[in-house]
Amino acid sequence: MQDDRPNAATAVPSAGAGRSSGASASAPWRSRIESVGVCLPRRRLSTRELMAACPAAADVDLEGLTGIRWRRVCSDDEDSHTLARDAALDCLARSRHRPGNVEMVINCSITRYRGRRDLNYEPGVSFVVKNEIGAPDALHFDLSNACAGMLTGVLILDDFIRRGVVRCGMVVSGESISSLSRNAIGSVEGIASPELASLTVGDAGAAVILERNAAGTPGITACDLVTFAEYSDLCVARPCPSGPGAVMHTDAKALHQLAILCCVPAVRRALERSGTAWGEVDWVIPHQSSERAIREGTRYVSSQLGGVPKHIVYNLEEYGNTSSTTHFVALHGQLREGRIRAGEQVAMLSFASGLVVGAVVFTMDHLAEAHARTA
Amino acid sequence: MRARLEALALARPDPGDGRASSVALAAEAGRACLARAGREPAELEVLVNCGVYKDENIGEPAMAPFIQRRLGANAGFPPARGAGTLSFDLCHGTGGFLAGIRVVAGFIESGRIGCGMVVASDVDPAGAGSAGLAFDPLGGAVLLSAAEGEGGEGFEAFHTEAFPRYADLFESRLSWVGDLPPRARPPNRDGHAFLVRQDEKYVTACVDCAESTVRRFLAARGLRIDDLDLIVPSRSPAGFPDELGRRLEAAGRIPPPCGPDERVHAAGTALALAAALEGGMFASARRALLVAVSPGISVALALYTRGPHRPDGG
Repeated sequence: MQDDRPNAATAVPSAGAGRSSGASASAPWRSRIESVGVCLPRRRLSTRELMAACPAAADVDLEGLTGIRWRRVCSDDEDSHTLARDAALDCLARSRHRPGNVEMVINCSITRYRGRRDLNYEPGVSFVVKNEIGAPDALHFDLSNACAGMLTGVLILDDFIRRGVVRCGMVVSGESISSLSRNAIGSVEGIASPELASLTVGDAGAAVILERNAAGTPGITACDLVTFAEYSDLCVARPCPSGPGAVMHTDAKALHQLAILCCVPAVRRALERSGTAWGEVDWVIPHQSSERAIREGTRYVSSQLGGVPKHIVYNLEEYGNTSSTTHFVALHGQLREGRIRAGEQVAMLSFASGLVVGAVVFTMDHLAEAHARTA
Repeated sequence: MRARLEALALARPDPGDGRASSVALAAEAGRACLARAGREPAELEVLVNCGVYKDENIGEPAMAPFIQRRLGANAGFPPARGAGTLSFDLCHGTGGFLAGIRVVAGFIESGRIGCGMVVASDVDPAGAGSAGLAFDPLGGAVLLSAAEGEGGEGFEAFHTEAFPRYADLFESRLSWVGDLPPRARPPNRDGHAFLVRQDEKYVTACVDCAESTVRRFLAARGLRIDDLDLIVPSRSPAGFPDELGRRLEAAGRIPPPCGPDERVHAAGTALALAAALEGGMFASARRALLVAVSPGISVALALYTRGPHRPDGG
């Protein structure tokens, strides 16, 4: 049962005038990342194996172009639902919250497969996940925003938490997206193929719990996403006419060039709201598309915003592009390895079909220690 | 700062147009909505699309950017106004439109935006080849903006309840059938087709859930049905609004459909609101309650009031 009123048992501090992401007049709280969970399919597929099935593209060095050496792919007993559910359960296992504390569940998967043959529409994946994790009363819905899905979910949940409507919620996604590769194998003939990007994807589930924190404490300081819809045709996926799964056509070069151009104002705005500068960011977690694109993109942003962030996170070698889950799969990996420390600034950058660009910025807090304990 | 409903519009396909487009219907409703409000597309800071059944079943990107582009709302770089427009799809079946309103109203309340739009439209992606998908194509759009002053009109509270025991009464999926024996395949052209199944008990269950949710919500706020001037149940699923009116003994407070009853889906709340606006019931209502249901079943309510904002009830 969810009511859009600040919890009656908790006094809402009065806020001053003005509009800021952290503490607007009607948003007196801040949200923080309390837990991160993932579900990675058991099966690994190498780029070498994948390209061996693609003889017409024998001269394409996909690994050299993208930095992707491996990706996980679903087996017959894994699909979008199981990835989302198991990521949610992993997230809860690392959390101090019980399932009943989760007041909101937003699922952000692009893919919604149940098995290989069925793409689920109604009820949504969020409905299934919230019931299977033991949060049947949670407010829930699915959203779709391509690879910016989880960041859009975080933006929405952050808004609900900052207004005091919910105290604890989950954003989750399960991407069984490797059907794109399966369906592209016969079509890719060279580096300019519109289906080449389909060979870069990997399957993964990710989940993040956000909880209410007092304004002024560490946590999420800005969520800024913008859609430049003029470029929405640059990457389009639709159901495959000949067999289960989807096909995707991408103008990767144009998408990449426009994404880095369009993202700068949104990233600048997010950093300003966070009271930090690009050169003061400790960890940049960009959408994981290809190493070259990330390197060129961050170099361009640095040239526009000044300064150089301390670390850029890449996990492409092991996982490929896991679409809407990339940021949280990457964050999970950094936390597991104990790399990100409390007090450090993290910026997650969106480069997604749509074209959706922007950033979610947060200050790492005791999550770093808590996650390391559960690794 | 609470959010008010500034304008609303519907769009239907021209009879001679052949196959309807979900993007075109949503954009046409959006354009009409902006025109009624006297606003420019670039004023939209957020666009949420809640349609479920869409052109070509496109999975990526969301459909909202295609609608945003048709509307001409800060589509290119740099944006025509301000920081630009964020658009995305919110998928929650027949309750999606109200869920979208809740999200956008929240953005306005928190000061994130000043103006946003929710649109919805459904078409049969396969033309007419989907089993059980029998919705009339309809586009709906609502424009929300910040209410002026403390004594104005706007959304006062939102509320949802879930009833997962009814989960199997409505389901829809896109299924690949090309490798099934011909007799087992539903008619389709592309090797995949929608399978939509609504149990005969579904509408009654929706009404049961909505009735109990409405009564609990009102009781918690110290209100009775008679304190509501207007009840706006979604026009989907078909039969839901009339039966809910009977159960609540409030048929006179529910706006009758403006024309022939349509079998719509995600735009059902927009269709119901249009009837309330056109008949003048919405403008004169001091307290209006919007009601929507989604497969699952979940019930969503929104209380819209005129007068001083009293977020703690009554």
